[in-house]
Amino acid sequence: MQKLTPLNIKKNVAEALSDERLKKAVLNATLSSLDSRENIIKEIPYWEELRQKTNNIKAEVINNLDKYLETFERNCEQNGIIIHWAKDDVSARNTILKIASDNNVKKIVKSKSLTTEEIHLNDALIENGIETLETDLGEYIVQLKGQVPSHLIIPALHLSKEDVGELFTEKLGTEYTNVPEELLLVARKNIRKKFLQADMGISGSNFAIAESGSFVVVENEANAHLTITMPKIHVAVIGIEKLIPNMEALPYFLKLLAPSATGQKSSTYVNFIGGPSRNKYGEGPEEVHVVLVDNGRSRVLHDKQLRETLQCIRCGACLNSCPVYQQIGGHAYGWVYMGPIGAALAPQYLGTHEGKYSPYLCTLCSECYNVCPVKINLPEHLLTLRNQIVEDGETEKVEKAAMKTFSFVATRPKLYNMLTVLPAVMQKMMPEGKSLSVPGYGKERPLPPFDKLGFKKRYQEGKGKK
Amino acid sequence: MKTDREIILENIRRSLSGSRIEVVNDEALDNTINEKLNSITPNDLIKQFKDELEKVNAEFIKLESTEEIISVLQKLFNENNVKHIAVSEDSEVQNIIESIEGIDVIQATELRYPERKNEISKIDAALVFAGNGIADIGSVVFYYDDTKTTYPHFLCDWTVVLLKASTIVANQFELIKGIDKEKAKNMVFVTGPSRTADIEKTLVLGAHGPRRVTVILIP
Amino acid sequence: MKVALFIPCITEHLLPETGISMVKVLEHLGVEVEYVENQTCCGQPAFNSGYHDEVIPMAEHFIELFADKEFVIAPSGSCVGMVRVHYARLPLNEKAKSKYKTLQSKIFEFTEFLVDVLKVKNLGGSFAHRVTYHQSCHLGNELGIVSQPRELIRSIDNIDFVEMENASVCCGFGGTFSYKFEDISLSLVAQKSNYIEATGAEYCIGADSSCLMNIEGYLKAHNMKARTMHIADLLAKSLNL
Repeated sequence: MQKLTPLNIKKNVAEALSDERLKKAVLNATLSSLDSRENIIKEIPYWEELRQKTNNIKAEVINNLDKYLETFERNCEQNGIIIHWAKDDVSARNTILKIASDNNVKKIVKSKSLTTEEIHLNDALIENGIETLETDLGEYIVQLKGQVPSHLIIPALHLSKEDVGELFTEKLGTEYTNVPEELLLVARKNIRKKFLQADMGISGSNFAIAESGSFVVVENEANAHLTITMPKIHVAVIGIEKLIPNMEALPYFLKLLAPSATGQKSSTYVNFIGGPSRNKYGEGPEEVHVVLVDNGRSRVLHDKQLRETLQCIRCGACLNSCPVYQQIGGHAYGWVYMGPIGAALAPQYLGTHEGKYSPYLCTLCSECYNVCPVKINLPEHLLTLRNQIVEDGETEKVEKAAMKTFSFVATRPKLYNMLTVLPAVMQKMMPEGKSLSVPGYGKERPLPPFDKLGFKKRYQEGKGKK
Repeated sequence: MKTDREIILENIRRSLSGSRIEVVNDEALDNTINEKLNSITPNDLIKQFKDELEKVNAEFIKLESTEEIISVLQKLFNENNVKHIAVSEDSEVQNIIESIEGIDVIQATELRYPERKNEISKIDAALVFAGNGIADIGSVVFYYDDTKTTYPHFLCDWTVVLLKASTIVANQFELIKGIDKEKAKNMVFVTGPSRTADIEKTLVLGAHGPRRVTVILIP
Repeated sequence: MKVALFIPCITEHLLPETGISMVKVLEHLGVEVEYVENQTCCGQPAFNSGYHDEVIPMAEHFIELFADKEFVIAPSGSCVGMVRVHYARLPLNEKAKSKYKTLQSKIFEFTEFLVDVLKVKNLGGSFAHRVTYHQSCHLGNELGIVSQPRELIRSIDNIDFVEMENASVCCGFGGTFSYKFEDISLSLVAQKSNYIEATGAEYCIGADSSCLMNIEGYLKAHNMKARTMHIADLLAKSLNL
């Protein structure tokens, strides 16, 4: 697997922009998702109220996360669920590897879980000789290709149906087709076998319900359901921030999630897991494990304002609405989480050095805030993170010097007026109508020429004439 | 040596120390949501259920009387050339399925586990009872307790769902309000056939689960 | 009624005509205007780049200059947004903080001032051309100014106003973004320019010179027909001021 790091953002962006087909695919997918979302919202007159309500619910949980986690643990254990705590990705991987080895697990099926991507789980399992198969179609495709997902919800967004056809022919030996229905049948057949043979199923979870000691997995394909119910052991990898207080809170989130994520009124399946459901016929998992993953989340809590970024329900709406994401797709962000939320989480989870470019991959247009179902003020957080990056000395020295100079000059009006005459003077030395060349404003998009007089002088001249 | 649990909880408490924001429940907000929700809830929930069900590519058959069930099912299976049907132990389904002719009924519970998975996977249709219907999104709810096998619900290509009209609720809020908390721990909401749009955002029905869902409403 | 002019850097140094147009329209409406000496910059470029400490003295300077004015008007959504929204987050000195509270409620973007405060419905001008409208991000999303510019455009006689596709999608300027990620910025302004061209409009109207300058640069360099025009200039022209 390619080593992902947001430090490669500039290189990634250049690659993404040179791929015309990618641009078209991303633009098409994001705009159509937004359209569908708009249509559903028309039928939900309490949409804005829902956003505020879920913001309140999540804020309450995040600000009392320790208590909710303890409640969740207690109630899960009463239901026969085994709880594990993993402070970081190493610990999470080791925990899961141990469960696998304790149970002689040879074959694993997985449903879509970005948290498992975050902790680099698949590589560790495969290195330990355990066959690990992604079962969500998009993830399956991306796994076959040896890549990482390029969107939170549509992992293989960056590939065309021809790409998928060629991939299947190459890796599965099937006859070439580029018809999505036929490609799905190929995948379905191959993956169905694996569901029936797997020893362990690994899933993520959208919502972990503290009061009931149960958790929810939302999906459209039924692969998560089969991942959860076919094998003897089910392991759910859940970020500690996924908690909600009780069952009553859930419908508020479900009403927002599907429209925001896929433009549907409701996802096809909402799976509730509240314990090993092995019934008297031997069906369902015998063991249900939950691995609660921290991996930097508890540190994010430290900032009173930034902790709101932990309220994310991973719907992907911010990606779809982001003009930058629309142009470059997900791989350019260089991390498992992309788009506006990814840009906000990177410096927090990975540190301000590795994440020093991420919050700048944004024009501050605020569309993300408009569409976020749980009303996370992403633009404000991105500004705060830019400030943190500056304070940590992670911006370029030249820029820092320029900003200090700018501040010095702009608070001394006489000096400011003197210095700002310079560009006008330089402009006079250029051929008529030609602009000064400034970074960002070259041949493709020249600046207008600097005005010889400037507003103040023109205004005063105008007044003088009266 | 501290456990991960201790480390995590300590980190959380330290991070939140002295800066926990108190979030007060906004009753006015709750009231507004309830009012607006009520104002868009129609009187005819069955019609709404049907309309929403059809929007998600599922089929709806309304029985005029419970007596019709056998003949309707018989016709449905004949028309679709169904030879084998999988059922779970559910006694209501058992009573109905006994009277259907010309099909081979596979009792999921009679198959030996773990072969049951493989066998049921090969069967075209399953006949199952749903516990509830949710009108505003066209969903059905299956509750899993330890008396029923559940493989027919998901491994067969076609799920024929029997649903009693009285079990239809207006929305998920209503469902959760009235629900048995124990039952709610292991259940699934199903809204139409399985689907994916992962390849170029082209919607394709029948991903890993059923390709076809038919709901038969029993008065 | 007297308004103080808050002249953004781009208006002062690159496109002063827009500022002059704004003055003409305001005076036409019987409003007395005042140019506040010693104004420099609200600090937005530094703030958006994360240099919040460096912005504090600039904000304090700005507040000191403008706090006692009856109204403060700027032909820019992003500059007004900076003062009205983001200054609130800065750890300013006590004096500045208390003066800021009054300033916040008196600072307006130009079209917002005309429609919401002066209650202008129809200026009575004429402009017989096809135009379209670019909704700048800070104007629309931070300040919620969506209908006011459009109302003013529509009220002009003989104008042919066509909405473009995705009128509110970002034009790619984003301040320092335009040089930090120049290629993405160009990709976005190309997209915006194509949307404009598809309307057949001669002019793309907007309320932020930064966006308009960005768009016009691209239009010109690629021999596209349309040009941009700030709404202040449009209103002044429509009234033959």
